[in-house]
Amino acid sequence: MKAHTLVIGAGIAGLQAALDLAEQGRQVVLVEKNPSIGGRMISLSKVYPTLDCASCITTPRMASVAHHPLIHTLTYTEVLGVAKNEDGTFRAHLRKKPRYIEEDKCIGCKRCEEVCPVYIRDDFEHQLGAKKAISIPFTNAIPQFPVLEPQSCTWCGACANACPVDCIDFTQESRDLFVEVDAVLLATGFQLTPIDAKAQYGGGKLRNVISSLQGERLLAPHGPYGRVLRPSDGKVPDSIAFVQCAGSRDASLGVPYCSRVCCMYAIKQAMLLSGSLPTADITIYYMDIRAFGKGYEAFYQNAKAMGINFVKAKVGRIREIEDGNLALRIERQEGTAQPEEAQHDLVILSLGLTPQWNPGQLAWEVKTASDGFVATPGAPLDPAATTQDGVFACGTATGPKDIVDSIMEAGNAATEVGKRLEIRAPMVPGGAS
Amino acid sequence: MAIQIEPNVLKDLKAYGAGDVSACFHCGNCTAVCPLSENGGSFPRRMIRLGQIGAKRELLASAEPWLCYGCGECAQTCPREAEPAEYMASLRRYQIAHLDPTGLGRLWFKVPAFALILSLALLGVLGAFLLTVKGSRLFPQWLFGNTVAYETIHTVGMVVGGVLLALLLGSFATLVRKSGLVPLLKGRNLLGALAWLGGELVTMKRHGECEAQSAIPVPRRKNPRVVHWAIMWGFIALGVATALDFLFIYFMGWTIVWPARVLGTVGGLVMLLGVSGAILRRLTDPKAGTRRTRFADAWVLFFLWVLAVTGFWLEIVVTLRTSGLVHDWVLVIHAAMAMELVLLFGMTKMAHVLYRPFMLLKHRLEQTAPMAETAASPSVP
Repeated sequence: MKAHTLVIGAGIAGLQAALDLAEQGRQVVLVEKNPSIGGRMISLSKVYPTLDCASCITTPRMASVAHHPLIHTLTYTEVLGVAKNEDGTFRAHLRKKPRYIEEDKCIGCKRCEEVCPVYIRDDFEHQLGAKKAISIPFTNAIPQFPVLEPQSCTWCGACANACPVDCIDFTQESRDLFVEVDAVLLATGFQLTPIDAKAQYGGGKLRNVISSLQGERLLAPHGPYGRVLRPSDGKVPDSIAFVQCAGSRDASLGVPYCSRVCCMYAIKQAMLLSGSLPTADITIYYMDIRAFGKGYEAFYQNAKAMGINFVKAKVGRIREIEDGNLALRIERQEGTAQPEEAQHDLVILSLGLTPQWNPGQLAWEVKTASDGFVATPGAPLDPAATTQDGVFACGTATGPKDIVDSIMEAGNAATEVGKRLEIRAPMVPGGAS
Repeated sequence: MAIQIEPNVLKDLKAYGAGDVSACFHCGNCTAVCPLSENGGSFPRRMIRLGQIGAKRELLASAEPWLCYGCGECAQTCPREAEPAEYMASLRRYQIAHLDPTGLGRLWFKVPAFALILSLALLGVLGAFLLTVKGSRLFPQWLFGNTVAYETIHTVGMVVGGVLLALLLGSFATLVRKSGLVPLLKGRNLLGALAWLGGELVTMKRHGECEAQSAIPVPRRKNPRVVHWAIMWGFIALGVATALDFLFIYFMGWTIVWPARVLGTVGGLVMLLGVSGAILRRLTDPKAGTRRTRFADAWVLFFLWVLAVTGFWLEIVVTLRTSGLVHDWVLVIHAAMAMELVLLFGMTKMAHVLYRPFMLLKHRLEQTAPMAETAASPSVP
């Protein structure tokens, strides 16, 4: 397979960059390791500071990409290697993982999912809900193909019997693909710092201490419970705490940098919570509020005006008390400065952002910076260029950033890739110059 | 009262073992995570603030460094890796060193090489002194003469001991004056505070709380509270046994030695176990990196351990009524080290024996409101 560009990662940055390149008339191969495109953004509740529904604004982008004639999307596919050829092109080795269905036959009718007797933890819901061992990853996934989890499947054959087009293939194997491209764009995104990293926060064992992405799912309209309930007993929480800097700005956890988005997403979640639970007390424990973007400070001030309680204190310990409630030990930085314990029903840890994928594992010259994110030595004037000529990066692959900044970086990266392509494979006869 | 600023305090404290304290951005994690922080103060963050602004006088007078038992949880979780626990330890050394009237204490803590040389030199002098005792078989006659009477040594020891005691009392008086304890006594329940202190010394309850909430549990054999309790009470038992021995044999002329002997044996055994546990903990600390061992810490443990072992050696020798050159050398080593430990008492970590109870008392008095005031205080709307 030949194309102009390989875009790795189909989150919002990868989608935007792929679209921008395709709109320039370039052929794009878009690779996504998950079964659906959409990345982190499609799993969010709403986005700040506009409180737009994340699904509602991400799905049109996903659909545009999926239907674009110049974009070839490969989902459930991993990048095993990228090698630079002598002529400056790249040869990528991809591996398409088996869904155990024949994709050209499947019509996405969900009959297999309905009859499957095995329930497993749902990764898309960050373990808060359950799904079937063969299921479409989530409601608005693209493509609408089910995935069979072979380690959970009991091979009962119910799905194969129910399938109207006879597309279940238990013997399917992974398939290797090779793509020749002129440029590579990394949009490999982030992952949250582990919830069990800090023993003082229960080491991941406290049932009502959840991660910020779990908080997003609780608040999403199509989330695991359809409403805000706490995991331990299904109680509607009456007092909810956000613990800021639970995974970043903490050298003792190996993440000394600020993850940028946590202040704003916590404020957003707090606002949404006060909408869905109008009588609940919502407290945000913070070190500093970093409302850095356009309209963000007003958003923060709005949250304060709505009655969300902002307490300037770093939470030292969280321990479980009776009924799964939680006691947080803090020292206030304003007013009285002395240790005190506050009680809450549900605690959301504002975990930090670390890189999802380390490109250094491939035998090429793309280097990472000391924080683990893709190094962009050309920043600030050339933020998309990596340490390897012809390889570009955008979005949270290069460092923590929010959706607005990711989309802007994606546009910039698409332009930079376009400049390279215009030299190597001119659209206009005679080239750009 | 105006605060007098000493810009070099933090730099100085680094020489006493503090880490990168200026990195602290006052998030309050240390106070929130500390099992011993209590209502009424930012502990240990207030001390860090005082260090950062250079409030030397306040640092020297404060009881707070002595409220910390160094579980290290704050250092483990500090987002800035400012090592609050090490900072508190450095403040304790700082206070001891700054009340030592000879000035040697500062060098002792700041320059390990100096401490090593001083310790060895003093051992040499004391050892040589002991070798001059009449009848010693350990050294050629021509070198020291070997003729000094036991009584002479005894008298010299008493005189030196008296001078030391005077110095120690002097620095303790300075401590009482500078710490501002005297105004606290007015109207407050001193007896109640003393009773609390006594209970604290017997049970070491605070030290236990320090470890109770720790995220990394420490096995009992090297649990800091257990080993510290053993070292302290073993040491006290040995002290009492020595005093009893002295009393019975020299003053009363009795020949009954068994009460002192039993007490000394039990105390020595308890102390030896405690010191061994403490050494084991420092060597295999699961929180390595949050609690560092400096020469001044190792010196105390090493001396106590060798003293305990040689003490038992000598006791066995005495019990079995054997003799030999090796045993004589062990006696000289034991006696010289014991003398050095006492001589350097006021300027080494040993001085905490005075400082911690004193500062705990001061803290207790600070915590309790003056009695008259509580009775008469009108209800302010």
